Amino acid sequence: MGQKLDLLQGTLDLMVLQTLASLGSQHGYGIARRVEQVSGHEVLLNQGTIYASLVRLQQRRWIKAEWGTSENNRRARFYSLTKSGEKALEARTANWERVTAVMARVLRQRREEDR
Amino acid sequence: MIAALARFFARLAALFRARRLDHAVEDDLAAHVDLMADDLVAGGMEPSAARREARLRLGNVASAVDAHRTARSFGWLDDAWRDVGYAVRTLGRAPGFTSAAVATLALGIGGVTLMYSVIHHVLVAPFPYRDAERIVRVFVAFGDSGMRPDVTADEFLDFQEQSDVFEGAVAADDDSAHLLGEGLAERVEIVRGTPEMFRYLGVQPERGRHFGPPDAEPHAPPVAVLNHRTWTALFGGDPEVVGRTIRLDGEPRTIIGVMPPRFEWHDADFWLPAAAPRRTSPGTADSNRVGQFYARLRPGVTVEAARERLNAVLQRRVTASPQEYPRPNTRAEVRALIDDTVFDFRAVLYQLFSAVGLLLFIACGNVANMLLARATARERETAVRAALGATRWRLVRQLFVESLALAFGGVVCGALLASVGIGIVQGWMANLEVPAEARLRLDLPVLMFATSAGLLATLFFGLYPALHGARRDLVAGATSSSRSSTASRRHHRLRGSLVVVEVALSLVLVTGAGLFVRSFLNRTDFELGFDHRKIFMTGFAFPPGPQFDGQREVFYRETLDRVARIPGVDAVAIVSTIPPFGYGQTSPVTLPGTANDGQTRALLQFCSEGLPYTLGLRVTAGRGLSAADVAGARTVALVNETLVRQYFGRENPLGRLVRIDKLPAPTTAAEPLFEVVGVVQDAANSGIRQPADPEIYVPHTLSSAGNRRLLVRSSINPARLTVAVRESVRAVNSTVALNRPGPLQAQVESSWPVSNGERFRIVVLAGFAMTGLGLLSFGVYGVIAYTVSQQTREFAIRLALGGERRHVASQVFRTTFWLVGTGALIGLGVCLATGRVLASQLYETSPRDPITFAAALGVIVLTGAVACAVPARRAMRVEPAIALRHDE
Repeated sequence: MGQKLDLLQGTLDLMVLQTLASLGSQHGYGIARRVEQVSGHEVLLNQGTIYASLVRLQQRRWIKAEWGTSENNRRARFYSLTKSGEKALEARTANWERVTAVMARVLRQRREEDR
Repeated sequence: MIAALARFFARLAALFRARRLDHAVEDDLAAHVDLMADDLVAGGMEPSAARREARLRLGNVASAVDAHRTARSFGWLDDAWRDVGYAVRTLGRAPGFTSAAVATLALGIGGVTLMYSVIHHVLVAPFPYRDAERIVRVFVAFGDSGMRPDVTADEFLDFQEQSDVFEGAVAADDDSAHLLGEGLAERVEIVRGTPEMFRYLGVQPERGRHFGPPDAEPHAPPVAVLNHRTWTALFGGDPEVVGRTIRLDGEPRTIIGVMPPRFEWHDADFWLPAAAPRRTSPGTADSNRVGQFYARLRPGVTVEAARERLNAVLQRRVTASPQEYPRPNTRAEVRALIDDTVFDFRAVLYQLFSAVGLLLFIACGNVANMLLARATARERETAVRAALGATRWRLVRQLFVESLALAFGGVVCGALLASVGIGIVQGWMANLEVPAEARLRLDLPVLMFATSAGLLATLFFGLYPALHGARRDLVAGATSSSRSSTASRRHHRLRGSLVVVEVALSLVLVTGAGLFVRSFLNRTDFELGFDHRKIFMTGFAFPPGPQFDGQREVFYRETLDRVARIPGVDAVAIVSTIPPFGYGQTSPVTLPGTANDGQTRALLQFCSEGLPYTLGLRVTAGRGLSAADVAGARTVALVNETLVRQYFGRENPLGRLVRIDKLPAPTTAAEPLFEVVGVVQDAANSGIRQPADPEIYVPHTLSSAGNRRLLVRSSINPARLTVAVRESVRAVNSTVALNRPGPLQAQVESSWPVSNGERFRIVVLAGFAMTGLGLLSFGVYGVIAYTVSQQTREFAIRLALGGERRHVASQVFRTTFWLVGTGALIGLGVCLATGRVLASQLYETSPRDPITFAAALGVIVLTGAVACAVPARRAMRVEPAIALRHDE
């Protein structure tokens, strides 16, 4: 299974939001599958943790859930972004990009010093 | 911020939907497994293997649900629920400990709750009137402490018109009147109020209407508003009472309304409207009075500010008409309504509240002790829990939650106790110096107080044991017998010092109670010379008008005859002064034929022949008055022993003449010369604790001046005579009312120097002190019994080595004595240091009264001795072989 990528606190939430933004309404398993695919299987979830994230997001009213039927006729809860979820995703994405940019700069600097 | 709130509420809601949400996530996870299995099957896997694989990949479902739960809830609150559940189960497993702790707390919390209810409903919010806390009384004061209770109509108007401190004002004039109605003849209390009175008080009538300005117009039909209490007592709660016409002092008035219960403005039976017209010609302050002035201050106006403004108004009046204000230092005074009603009783209530506070402390001490003992006994449990990974904080919280659960039980049971106490105290309230409107209740503010008392108590008794119980040495706690560990010894010292504190507090409580009891005994220690407890007394109220002129003697005679026939009545008499008080007529008396300097006076008692027998006074020489003496209005007299001693010396008074120089007119005696026919035993006649004055008893038929009262001695409880006496009087004449009927004892006890407030204080304080002693003995017993159980092995070894059993017992006693002695010394110091605050309220009793102190000490020491007797016996009976074998 290789080395699992440690997820920073909150990054899973962001991934879930982005997944829902690109897939639209989706059930938990679909979200988990998508996250694994998109991350090139670098993020190997304990897939159960997706649900903790889903609950957190629901409490913030960023996503909503309703019962639906999957493509192969299974009953499951389908999650989708809310308006405030879209805004939150935008804000969080911007924030994330800034953080990663800063982190990248700082880390590059360290590598240069090491040299 | 809003998002945070939303999250908060979602979590809060989740707390109550925990079950459902757990199900929801389980459904989610089941769907997850199904969906993944479908995918895997589509990829070519066997269905059963696919499901297994799917479950594997999903990971630990339980931990996912748990993570889910953590995400959706306040972790600590969830834990707290679990703590509560655990605490309840733990306490339920130790019913003895739990009920003892809850009962102890209930006594303390119940006590403070009761006293808080009294204080809240007597001092803080006693009145049912609108914005009652802003109502003030205004009066004119002069000199150092003189006051004129009533204001004149002009002052009433000027105070309102020339100042801007009031929202409204009312004048109320107390009076009594003779009520005649269908089958009714009663002496009633009336209040004449300015027309805006009810609007100002802001209370609506229960039936009919109240009066307003039109009812006070000069030719308006006379009306009256009825008190609810009077409505029930005199009119039997007749729903048709509104519209009925009654006569008050002969004047017909229509009842227009009945006020709701608890409306007791000025304790009136009827409220009548009265205008407050300005005076047209100058006069003294005695004319044109409209009664006592009450006003509601505007919001934000202080009593001091109002006083200043009104005084300015008054000073203008003083300057304008000095003849109306002849006294020096005339000024306006303003006082809050409650201060005008309660006076000294406030101090009594605060004292009782501090006393009950001590009680609560003692209760907390006991429970803390019990918890510490339990913590020691549970060392193993705590150690195991700690070893299994419970954090210290978690353990502290667990123990603290147990304390909270105990406190909760204490609050609930305490509130029940308090409600019982409130019922009892409310019954006493009628006789106390409290507003008649005050009703004790267990309402929201009181319950909130009880709850805070419970929380505060938890901090006192629960925090330390919790912190302490959780500070465990894992290895020592889990493996060894805890008896040798230093922590136990620390517990032990702490428990000892708690007992010391309890002893000190109890001593303060008992000494305080003792001082007041002694003061009370000093006050009640009086000898009247007759037994006042068997005597019923009433005055008479005659309707206005001439119909009884010269006819009263006939009325009295018939009344005496009828009342004497009531079953259970032993003797009856008519008197002009009430025996122990002697606010009667006195006159100079001269003895013809003796040297007299004219300084001799005697109290005159106009009475019927039955008086000596009614009071149970012996005639020591000569004879008593006869029926013929009274009927014939003969000029004969009885004298008391004091008069004989002072005026006749050793001479025989019988047959001598006494001249009563100021016989009140109108009199039938041609000449005020009375022949002494007998000598009567002395009885108190000038106050309860005063020596008897010279007194002369003459037939009441000789003078028709002044009031007469009826005394009845009966073998039945005099309080139950009122109805029978009223019927007898009504049978003689249906228009005559009884005036203040009741047992003479009540009159004696309500008069100086024994106030009902004093009695209340004694009873309540004694109750608290007894409870405190009970708790103390319980506390001492607990500590000593525990010590003994801890020392069993030591005792056993000593006994095995040949130690004597009595030495073992004496060691137990020594331990007790050491604790109690230290506590008593501290308590004694506190009493001596704080005694001065009580000095002003004690009657002929020093706040350092040695007898009281000795008695209190004795009681405390005795309590300690009794409490340790059982453990000492147990220590003596230790069987070395058994004790040593059983000990680990």
